[in-house]
Amino acid sequence: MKGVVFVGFFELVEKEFGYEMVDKLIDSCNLDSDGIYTSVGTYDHSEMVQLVTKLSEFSGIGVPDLLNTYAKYFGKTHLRKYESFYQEATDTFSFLESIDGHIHVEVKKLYPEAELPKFSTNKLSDNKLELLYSSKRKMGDFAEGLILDTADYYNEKIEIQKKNIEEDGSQVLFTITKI
Amino acid sequence: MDEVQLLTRKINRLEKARVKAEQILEQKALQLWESKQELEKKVKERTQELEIAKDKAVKAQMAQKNFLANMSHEIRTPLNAIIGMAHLMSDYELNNQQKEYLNTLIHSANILQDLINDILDLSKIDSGKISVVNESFDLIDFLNIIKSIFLPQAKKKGLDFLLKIDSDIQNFVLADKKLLNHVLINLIGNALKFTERGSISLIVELHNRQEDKQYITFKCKDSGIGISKDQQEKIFNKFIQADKSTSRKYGGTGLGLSISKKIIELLGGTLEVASEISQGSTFYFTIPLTLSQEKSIIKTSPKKKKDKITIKQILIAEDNLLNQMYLKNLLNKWKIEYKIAQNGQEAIDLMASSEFDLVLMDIQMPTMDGYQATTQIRNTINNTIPIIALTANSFAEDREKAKQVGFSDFLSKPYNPNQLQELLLKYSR
Repeated sequence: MKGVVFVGFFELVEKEFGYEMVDKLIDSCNLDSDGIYTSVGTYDHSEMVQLVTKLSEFSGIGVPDLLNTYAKYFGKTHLRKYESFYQEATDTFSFLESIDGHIHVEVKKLYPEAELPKFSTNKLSDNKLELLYSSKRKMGDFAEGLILDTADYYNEKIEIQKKNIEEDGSQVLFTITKI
Repeated sequence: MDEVQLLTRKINRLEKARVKAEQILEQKALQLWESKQELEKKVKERTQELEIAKDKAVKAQMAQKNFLANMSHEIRTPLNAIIGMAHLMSDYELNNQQKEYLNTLIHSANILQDLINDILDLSKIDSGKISVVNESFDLIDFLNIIKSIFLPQAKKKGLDFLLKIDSDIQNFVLADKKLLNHVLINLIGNALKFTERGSISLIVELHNRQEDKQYITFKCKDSGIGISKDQQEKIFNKFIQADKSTSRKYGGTGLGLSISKKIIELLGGTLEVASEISQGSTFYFTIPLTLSQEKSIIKTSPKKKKDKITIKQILIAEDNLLNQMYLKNLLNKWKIEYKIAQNGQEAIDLMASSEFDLVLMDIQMPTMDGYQATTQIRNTINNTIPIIALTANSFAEDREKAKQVGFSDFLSKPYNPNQLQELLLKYSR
């Protein structure tokens, strides 16, 4: 997993709970990286799972809610740096449709080692889009937060229906409706 | 844990992360540098490949051009002998059968000559070697001359030839007279060929006027066999005639319209056709002609042509025996004395020892070619004597070169007796 996801996570934890919580998370997890992340590095995905699970434990907030909230923060603070990708699309749907064919192609050029989730889309109508998320990272909740953040960017209101295609969450079907 | 300790831990982690990030970035930079080197190498290789390919293409183009020039020369030389001998033979008493054979021979040789000229024209247009050269001229005069060329031929076939000129057209224009002439002669020639009864009209109308230009529509209309809709789409292609029986019945190379179409495009128009089977055809195009002032036209009022050749002594420089024979026979017939040089050097030697009124000089000769010989004659022996290039090299560059080294005129092989006679009359004093 890209280091920027870890860096962003610690940023938000520090902002919401103070550095003490960051320190506590690092100490209570068994991290190969010792909790030292840089946005240009790549780290094992299991570290994120441990961190989020522990945070849920310490804060009493459910993992899906944590991931959802973090995704919105991550979109606004880190993804917005790649403004041109947003500008090339015209709305939420066209942005989501461009992820696999364009955005992730460019990401691979910069980070050939990156393992990226797949986002297959199927436009049902002008107002309805199906998006199938596939990743062994099982971060459908994170993906959902990112989708909501994207709609924020384009000033659109959307509703998301979520359905696990694989029980373990490695495939999630989002049905997105513009309202 | 107090705040200082917590802060220290944070700073420690941040410091370690910074060091790690620097390592990663340095590695990335190295990778970038390496891939940049790789890219530069590839660009260099591709550039080299492109240069080699370009070089090859240029060489191939040169080879093609040389091939065309050589073929043209190689075909014209024997063709000159064929046409020449055939004309000489027609001076003899021949029985009807022999006359028929001879006519077929001359007719076929003429077709071959037209074909070679058309192919050369087309290749020149295709390779962009024909450029538009504008000159001032009187359009009405020009059209009347065309009429005077075709009227006798039309009458001979029992056809009317009509020239209709819109009275709003201003006489004096700036345009490429030669190219326009080429197209009109081709179109009217076709009309004559494919019309058995009725008339042929050349209709010239003012389409519109814009600033210093008049857009003029030229229509060549006949009452001939016509062209079906299907065939209308194809006739502008190379080597295509309306159908196979056409070429058998009417002859021709099928290149004329293709050449005309390209020329009209060069002149800023489109050559089009309207036709119905057995109702006749109309070929038409509209081109812009720039208006010109009358006074800027150099009136080339033809000098009164002599009606008798006054040239008495001619020097012939020619290495081909058949072409020598052709010339000798013609000059004997016209009672003009001559001496023959086998090459340029011999010509110079003869010039030094005898008096001549005119020189007929081949270009490609062994020992010393016609260019060298003429240069030397102009520089050291005689600066005024008419020297006529007789050559199978017929490219515009050849004519230009001939002019530069001091030739007075240029007669391209194959030529017929009349063409040579015209030239000799021109240089008779």
